[in-house]
Amino acid sequence: MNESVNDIVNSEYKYGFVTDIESDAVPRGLTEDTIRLISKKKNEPSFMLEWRLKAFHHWQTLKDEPTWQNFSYPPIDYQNIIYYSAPKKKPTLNSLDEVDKELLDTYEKLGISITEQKRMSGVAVDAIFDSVSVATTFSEQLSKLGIVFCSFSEAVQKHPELIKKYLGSVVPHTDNFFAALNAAVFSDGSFCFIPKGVKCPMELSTYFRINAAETGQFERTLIVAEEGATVSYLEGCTAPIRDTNQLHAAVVELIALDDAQIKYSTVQNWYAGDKEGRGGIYNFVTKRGKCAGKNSRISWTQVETGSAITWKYPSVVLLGDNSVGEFYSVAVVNNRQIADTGTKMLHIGKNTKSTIISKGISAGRGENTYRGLVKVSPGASNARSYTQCDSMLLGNRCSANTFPYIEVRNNSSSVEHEASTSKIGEDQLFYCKQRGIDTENAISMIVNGFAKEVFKNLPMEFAVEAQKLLGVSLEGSVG
Amino acid sequence: MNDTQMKDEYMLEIKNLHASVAGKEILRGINLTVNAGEVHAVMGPNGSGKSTLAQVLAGHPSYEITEGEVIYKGKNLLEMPPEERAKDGVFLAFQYPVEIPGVSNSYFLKAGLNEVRKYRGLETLDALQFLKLLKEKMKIVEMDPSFINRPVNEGFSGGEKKRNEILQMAVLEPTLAILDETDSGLDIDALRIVSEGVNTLKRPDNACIVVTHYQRLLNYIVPDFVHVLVNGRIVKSGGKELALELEANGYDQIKEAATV
Amino acid sequence: MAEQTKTSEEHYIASYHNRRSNGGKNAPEWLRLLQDEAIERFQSLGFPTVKHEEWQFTNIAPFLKTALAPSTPAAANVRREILEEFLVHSDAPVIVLVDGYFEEALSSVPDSTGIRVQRYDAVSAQQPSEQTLSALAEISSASQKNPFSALSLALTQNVIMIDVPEGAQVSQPVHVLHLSTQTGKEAAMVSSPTLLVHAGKESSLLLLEVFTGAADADYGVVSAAGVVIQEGATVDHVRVQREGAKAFHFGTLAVRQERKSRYTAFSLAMGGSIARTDVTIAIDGEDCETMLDGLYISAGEQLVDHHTFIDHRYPNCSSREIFKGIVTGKSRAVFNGKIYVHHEAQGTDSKQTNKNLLLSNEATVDTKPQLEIFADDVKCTHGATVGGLDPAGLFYLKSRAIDEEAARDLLTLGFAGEVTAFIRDESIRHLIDALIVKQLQTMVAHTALPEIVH
Repeated sequence: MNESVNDIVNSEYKYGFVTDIESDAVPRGLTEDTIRLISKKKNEPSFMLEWRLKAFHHWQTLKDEPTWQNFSYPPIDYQNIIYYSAPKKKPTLNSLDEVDKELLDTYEKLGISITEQKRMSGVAVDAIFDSVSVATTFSEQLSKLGIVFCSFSEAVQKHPELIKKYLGSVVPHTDNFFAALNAAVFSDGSFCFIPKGVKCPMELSTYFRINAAETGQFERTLIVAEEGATVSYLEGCTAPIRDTNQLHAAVVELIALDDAQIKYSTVQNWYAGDKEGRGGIYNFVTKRGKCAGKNSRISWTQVETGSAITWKYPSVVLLGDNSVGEFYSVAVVNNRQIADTGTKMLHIGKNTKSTIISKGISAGRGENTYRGLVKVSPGASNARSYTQCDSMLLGNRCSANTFPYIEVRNNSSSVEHEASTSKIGEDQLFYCKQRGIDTENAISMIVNGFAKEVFKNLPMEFAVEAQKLLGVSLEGSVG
Repeated sequence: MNDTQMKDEYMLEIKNLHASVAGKEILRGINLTVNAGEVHAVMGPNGSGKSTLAQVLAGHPSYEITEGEVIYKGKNLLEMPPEERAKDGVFLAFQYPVEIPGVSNSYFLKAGLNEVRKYRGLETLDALQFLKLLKEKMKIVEMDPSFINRPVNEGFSGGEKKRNEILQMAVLEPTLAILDETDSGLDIDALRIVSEGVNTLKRPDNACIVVTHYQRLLNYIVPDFVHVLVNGRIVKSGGKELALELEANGYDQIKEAATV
Repeated sequence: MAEQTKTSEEHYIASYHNRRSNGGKNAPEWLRLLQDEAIERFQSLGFPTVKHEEWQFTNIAPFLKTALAPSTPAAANVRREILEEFLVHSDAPVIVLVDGYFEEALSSVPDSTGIRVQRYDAVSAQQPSEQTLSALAEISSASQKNPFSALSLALTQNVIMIDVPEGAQVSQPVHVLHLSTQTGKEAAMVSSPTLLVHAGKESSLLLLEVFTGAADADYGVVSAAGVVIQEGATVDHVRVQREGAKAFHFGTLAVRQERKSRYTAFSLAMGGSIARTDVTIAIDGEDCETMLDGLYISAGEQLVDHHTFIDHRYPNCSSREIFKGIVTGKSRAVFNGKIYVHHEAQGTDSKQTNKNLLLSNEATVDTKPQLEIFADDVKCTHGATVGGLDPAGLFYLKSRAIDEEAARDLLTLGFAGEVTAFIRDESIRHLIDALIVKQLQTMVAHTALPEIVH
């Protein structure tokens, strides 16, 4: 694409509005007192406070953030972050009538169905506004099946035994710098528990929204699927346009027992910063699933279009024999965005299988890195792993990097990795134009075709949203 | 064509067209007029500039126009971007149809058709309407319905790609269709199907330029005019009998005549 | 001993200064200046630990524990018969270095070969040619990041330069044999041969480079080679690393290709207890072609590590890289292949493949192919596989009456043959195939092996 490359006026970030809501925040900065205060505000049992403090003390010993990633960012001043911010008028859970009107309007703007009349859509939603869960729909109906779907805070109150058992069991507080920080200060999140033999009848969904300025968002999601249970969970994220960077350091833990299946889908559209790279979310997230039982399956699907920097590797620990891990990813970077994302598949059990499909799209001055680890332990007989990792470059100022790490210690296993890099061909664009399709639509069409293998793993509604998002985030990248 | 015809009655008028690629001049002064209802064959040896002419008319960005003009329906064609030309009825059946992985044939074609319909002030078609239309048109080129959902040209055989081009032409209903070596790589059956497709689509208000190396195709698509392109210029024009003459004598005679 | 309190770095730095102050054996002044720089660079880099991204799978602690002394010229004469195994034919042009020292008696490069061989050492203290300096610059550049490259340059006993004049077509394979003779009882020594190659415009060279040594000796080789290929020239470079089982081998190969040049390399690595090779290919002009292939075979507790880096800096170049590994016993094979396509390098066509055959359940493979791409109009792919022998293939062979053992051997050799097939020179290919069979024989002790080859 030579002279046909012209910048077109960038479309505005659709979710960049700020909601004017009074919030209840803890003072800026991080000390042991901050943690005690958060725990107190949430009226937590003592085991939670102890757990937080342990994490905090560990975090204090970690002098430095990791440095192995393929990008740099200005130092984060951890004392200049507000670690807890909640809308002041807290709704009584399960009663949406009391939810602040402003808040409901916000979610309407986002197109999230948390109001009663939208029940027909068949998606149960937990809405997280800044640091706390503001509304959870369908809880009652789900509870009849024994399914727990509520905010993390509520789960701590109502199901402390489950929290005690599973919290930190997949991502311990010692896992990494940001996981330690999250464990210390996390304010809310979603909790799902699907009991033995239950197939969750609807998609469970959490919608994350950062609203307040200078806050960090540190939520934690924990999903447990007992023997034979299945669940499909979706998360979506947006944030207002602000010219300073905001840190989002979440932790997600999934646990699948024997024959259980968890499908976790993300459409991440945090504010990405402006064309020059000012502002935007630092999306530093630790996501990991444990296929603890035999024949279990955990599947991650992510569409990453937002954030100034995305840095995460949703992973699967394949502990149970015959367990299956999957990772399907589309990561788009435009303007000055950076993504360093991929997965880890740790084969421990026998006959374990993993599939990794990653599609990276780079435009503008974006930097896109796939980083993945496939590790086959000596005991993982007959493990199979397949990785397909494709990159597409739009324009000549962006980059695409592929760093797969493969470590195999079992000779009955088979690990394959393939990667390719391509561009949108001039001939493809011309062909589309010759059929009357303009450049932007042609690009959107070709890119969506490129990412199709991943989209087909998303639940229908999400797939449509993701496809549109892809088009929007690439607008202005090529003319 | 005689001088009494008004200029703006031509569908297409190419005047002294010069075009080059990567600094190398390929077209060195093409003059050609096409009226509605006509079929023009452009023939010539390899490297004479036939395909360049087809690509330039469709607006391929690799070619630089260094001189001359092209008037299409009274408008300056060369100033129009490729998609604009397509919307206004210029259709190029590619010599090498392009593969677009992951994008289904029907989605691609529906997007194109609706753009064209919008331009012409027609209602856009929804998925069902479009499918109905597509199925009808597929009969013209005897195409298997399974092609609808396959990615554009991906994994198609040479013949299937060419049929797909004619299918697209049938759906988009162009005013000026340019067939670039549509016969190359086709077996006799495919050639028949493709030609019949083209003939079915012929109407008094549209026109067709058939670019070909061989006379063979012209047994099926009978031209009103034949132009011989050598070295970037039309060196001879005539009726359909000119094609037969070329078939009998080859291009050498004309080439020699042209270099004199 | 005072040695105990020294770090490994200090040990080698002290060795360097010892030799430096020991007047008589000094290299020419210009070389000494280069070496002074190199030892400083080494000092600032230090030896890597597994915390370095580039060394995370290769723990060099055993090497660090063995304080090697710089080699001295071998006392006893080496019999030419030892070399025969590696000669394509007995009168091939050959340059022999014993423990890093040029061995005149064993070397012979007739004028008819068409190359000029220069040596730079204490014996022959001549001024360097422009070609020499340009090939040396490649090693210097590699030593900016790799402490072993720096150490090699600092400790080198000999610099051997192969100068292929403009337009010369050298069809005879030129042999460069690096032989380590230090045997077990003597103090363990390290040799640091430096090989330079300069292929002038439109010339061509076929080079066979071999590293070998006594089977049960403790020794180290920290070698470096710098290759410059000028416009339109072709270099075919076959390297064989068959060090003794206890040896440490750290090799640097730094190549720079000018426009329209062609570099075809094949590397066979099968020796050493820790063997690490760093290959850098700088593509420094348009329309170049690079083929970088290799096979590594590891057994016992060997660690074989290849780090390759193809740096596409100019448009319209192609590179193809195929590395295969046969990994057995408790050994560990590491492959790290980086392809970097600069912003300017439009039209790059690059393909990299790494395939590993794991023949034991105690062996480990770590592979990390990397693509870093900054240009959009490129075609780049890479692939990596790790697995055992294909059960379907085994079954198929057995169903054709071939017994298990032979079937396994056949598939293993077939696996190796896919990559040795790329060696263009037939006589060298046969030599390599024979070395592979011999190695597999000692590893698996299957007598049937030779019969089923070819």
